[in-house]
Amino acid sequence: MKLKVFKQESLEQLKKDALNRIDFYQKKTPWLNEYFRGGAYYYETQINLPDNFSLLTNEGEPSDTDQENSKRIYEAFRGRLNPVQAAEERLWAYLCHETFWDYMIWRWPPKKDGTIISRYYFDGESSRALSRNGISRLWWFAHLTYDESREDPYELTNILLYSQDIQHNLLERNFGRNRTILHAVLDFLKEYPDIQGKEQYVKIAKTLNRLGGVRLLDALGPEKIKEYLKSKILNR
Amino acid sequence: MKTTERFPYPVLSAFSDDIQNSTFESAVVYQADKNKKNYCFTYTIALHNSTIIQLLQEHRAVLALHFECGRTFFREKYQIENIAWSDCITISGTIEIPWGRICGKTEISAFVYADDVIENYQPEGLHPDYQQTAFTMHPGEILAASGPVILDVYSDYELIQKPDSIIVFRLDKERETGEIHISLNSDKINVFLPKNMFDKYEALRTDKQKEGIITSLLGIPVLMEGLKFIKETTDENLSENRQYRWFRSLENKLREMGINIKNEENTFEAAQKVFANPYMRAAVDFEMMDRL
Repeated sequence: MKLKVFKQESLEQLKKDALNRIDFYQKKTPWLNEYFRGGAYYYETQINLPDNFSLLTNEGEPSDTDQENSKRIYEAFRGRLNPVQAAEERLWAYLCHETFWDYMIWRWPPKKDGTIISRYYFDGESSRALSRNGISRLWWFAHLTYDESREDPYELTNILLYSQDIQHNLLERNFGRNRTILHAVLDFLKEYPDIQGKEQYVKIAKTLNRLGGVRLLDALGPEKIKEYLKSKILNR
Repeated sequence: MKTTERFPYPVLSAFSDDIQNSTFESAVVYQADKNKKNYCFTYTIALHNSTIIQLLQEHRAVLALHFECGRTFFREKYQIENIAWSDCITISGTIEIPWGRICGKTEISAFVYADDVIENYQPEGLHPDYQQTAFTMHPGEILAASGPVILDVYSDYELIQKPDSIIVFRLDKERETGEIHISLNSDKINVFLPKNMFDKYEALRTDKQKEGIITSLLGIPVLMEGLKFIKETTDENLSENRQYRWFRSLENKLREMGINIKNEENTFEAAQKVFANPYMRAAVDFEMMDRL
């Protein structure tokens, strides 16, 4: 299946209209053809997506499927998408509205608040938008944590998605953009599985932010970061 | 990467006078290398402080450029080595980053940071207020900082060969009649025509012979609005406006043509140059139509 992306002007029109056309977002099946009345609203790219590809739906708590779905999306796109392409709203918004509509209305039921814009489109230009869009977030979670040198390359993806609070506290802060720092923190959480709960994750993020105020975190190796967290979080 | 301007130790930088009679400055420009599909960032760094230079020579400190792109989760440091040492050093070089890694607003900062524990750090030129205090610097602590330089990094811009590449004429569904409206806040310049006008425009557009005439009639005034927008863009909103593809394309086109729009008294002449003499082409088209 060739991957499709919105035409820019079609995306802009749809996004501008989104909150006025909540009726479309209540539909159980994709509705773009109906909305655009048969007009050409997308381009077909040269990127292939496997034909039988699907995301998990209807299995327990929606957030519990993030780990598996993150791997599925990343595997489906592996070697086919670079980070700049993966920062394209036209791509992810199309997938949210068409290809993965069933998944989207189950995982992120549309509400007339910020949900539609942040989960079905990009809300803003920064990397925060990428970790909020319903489908792009799955790709980016895996992309930022995939580590081929591990027995399970998705080991850190699983830790990142163990709790929504982990990804929220790590990826919505600037230090989370650095792979070495991000992996070091996730490794720390792996080594000390008793560290759990929103308060603890907030404490870790704040601790690193404070350290980043006086040191260049990027200059510290993973071991130094883990040592520092050990001393500040575990008081050892 | 924006650094705090208050450190618990002295930092050589433009934002403080912790260390005097010394310099740490950086400049970075970039070019998109279409063959290698890389961005080539060319940097120049000037450092004048004997204590810090000595620490670099002894490999107890590191000189690095730090790149951060907020749009693609990119944050990396590039260590600069092979420095020719003297009392005052100026270093130039190039760092290549693939197109697929960064896009848009990219912050680049230069740092010298401790790579080791440095005891009794008392840099040359330390402000008298420090009363000759000796500091212990830890790995990652910053000895000198410069920047950030913020660049809008893009590899893609469409060649402006015809108005369609940056201007799109669209039906204004909400109006049957009235004036043409224009919106500049998109990747293309959107021109909204009320229904009665749009139908006529669409019919005209199918006739290739009339394309030059349409360019003159509609394209030129629209392009003038775009040029005026670029002309009035201040340094503060440059990054924001460069998000639009039409803006980048037109900026590049003007650069290629050697036109500095800020210095142009009117945008009418520049618009004619960008669209390569559209009035003459329209006149020729009229002549051809008369002959048929």
